[in-house]
Amino acid sequence: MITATLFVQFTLVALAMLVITSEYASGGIRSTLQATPIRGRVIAAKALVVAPVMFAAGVLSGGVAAAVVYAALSTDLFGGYVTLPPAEVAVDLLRVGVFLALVSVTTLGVGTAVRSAAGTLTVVFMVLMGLPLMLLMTGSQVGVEVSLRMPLFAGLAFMGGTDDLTAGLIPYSAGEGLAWLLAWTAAAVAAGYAVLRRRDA
Amino acid sequence: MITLNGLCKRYGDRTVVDDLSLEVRPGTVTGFLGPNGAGKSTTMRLILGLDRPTAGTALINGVPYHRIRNPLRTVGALLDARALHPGRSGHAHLVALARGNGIARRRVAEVLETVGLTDAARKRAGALSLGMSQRLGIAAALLGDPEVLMFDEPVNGLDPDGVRWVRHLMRSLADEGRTVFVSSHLMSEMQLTADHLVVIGRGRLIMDAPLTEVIARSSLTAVVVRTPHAGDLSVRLSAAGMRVERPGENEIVATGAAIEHIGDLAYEAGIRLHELRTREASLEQAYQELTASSVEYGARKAGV
Ligand SMILES: Nc1ncnc2c1ncn2[C@@H]1O[C@H](COP(=O)(O)OP(=O)(O)OP(=O)(O)O)[C@@H](O)[C@H]1O
Ligand SMILES: [Mg+2]
Repeated sequence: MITATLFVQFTLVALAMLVITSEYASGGIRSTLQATPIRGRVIAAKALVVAPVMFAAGVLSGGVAAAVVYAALSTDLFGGYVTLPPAEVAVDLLRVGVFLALVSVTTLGVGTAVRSAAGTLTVVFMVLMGLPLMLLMTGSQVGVEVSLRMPLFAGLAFMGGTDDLTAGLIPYSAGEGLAWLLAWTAAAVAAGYAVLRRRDA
Repeated sequence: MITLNGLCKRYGDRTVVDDLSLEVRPGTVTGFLGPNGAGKSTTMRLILGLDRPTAGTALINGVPYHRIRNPLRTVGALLDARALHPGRSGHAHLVALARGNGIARRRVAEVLETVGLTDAARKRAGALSLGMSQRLGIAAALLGDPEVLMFDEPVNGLDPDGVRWVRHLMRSLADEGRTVFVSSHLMSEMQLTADHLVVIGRGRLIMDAPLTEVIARSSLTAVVVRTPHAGDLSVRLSAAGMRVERPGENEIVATGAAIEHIGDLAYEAGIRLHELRTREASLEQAYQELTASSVEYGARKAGV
């Protein structure tokens, strides 16, 4: 289910990105800034739309994934050996939702800073997937340490405390994973804010 | 009231707006003229805080744009009519703007009616014709019933009825005591609409004066005299320091003097006049003289 999330993530991230890059592309940003000249308010408003929508989308898509797994498990195929405890599933779903919301707001921040859709996708992909995997592969102590604190593994730590995908790999708690995620989100939003303030629209 | 103070904007090493200081006053239509690339649109973007000035300030009623609460209720502007989300309908666009600025929702229907877009407002904005987009942009500018209005080439793409309608709109907005700042390349239209003119070239202020003064100052504004004693009178006028031409046997065209002065001179010399009148330059002529040296993207004279 967690792995499914990572793929869903990219589709949703693309949507979060469009919230801002489409405005730059159409010039609508000028109309937006005319109506709301305070830059911080523009980003905050967009984040306040993106976050709950993506949270819901995350919970929903996770729920669909869980339901499919559930259906598969309840057939005779697995002989009824595997079960999904509903309470844990519910908590997992909420975490998936939070993760997607944070990643989407991160994307919003990057999109505000980078402006073009293609550039945003590249940067976001590198930050979410490319860089952490590359750093991991270098095998160097520092590379691995950094990589494990990027959104990908921070997210896995946050979502999958008990999941064997990450077992033993991540040296910190789910709570710390959330903290790292929040830090990345804050950094991206701050970068977006700085650009929106300084550059001409 | 719009106040520019030493306003400058550089893009890279090009100075596009160069030390502009001026006031755009309420109750008048102020025309904003200048050749292509003179910096008119950039100045308007600076006023709206869309671009950051390199130096100087642009204030509206004494404060920068971003300090105005619910700015659409104080300043309405049409810059680039196509700069909106193409998938949204015009109606949805206006509703969103109204909601964000605490403007009553009924204003949306009102302004759509004013600009004659009531029916087309449900279409995707991207599917509107140029003139319809322009009308939608004007509707957006009027939405907040603002006291300051800026229009960048508002008649761009409008049909003749639309052009006339915009002229009346500008006039009535100014007559209601609002500040109206409007750029245009259509000099004949401006001559009918504007009370005051700001002319810039290559980012610099060339002229900031009432329309009547701009026209009076043109060298093409002249006094035409018809008299059977044209030879005699023209000698006297030249002696008084005027530039004199003799387009016909009994005709004199004099520039550089008031019409009263010529009448008095003729009277004192006992010269009979059959006609004495001012021939005003058109705004187009006056404008061409003013900007001749600052046209950047002029076409070469036609001919092979
Ligand atoms: N974002 C930008 N980056 C670089 N140069 C720019 C930018 N915006 C405008 N310019 C340049 O600034 C100059 C002034 O442009 P501006 O659009 O203000 O002129 P304008 O007076 O509105 O002209 P027009 O009558 O053609 O509309 C032009 O030379 C233009 O190329
Ligand atoms: Mg322009």
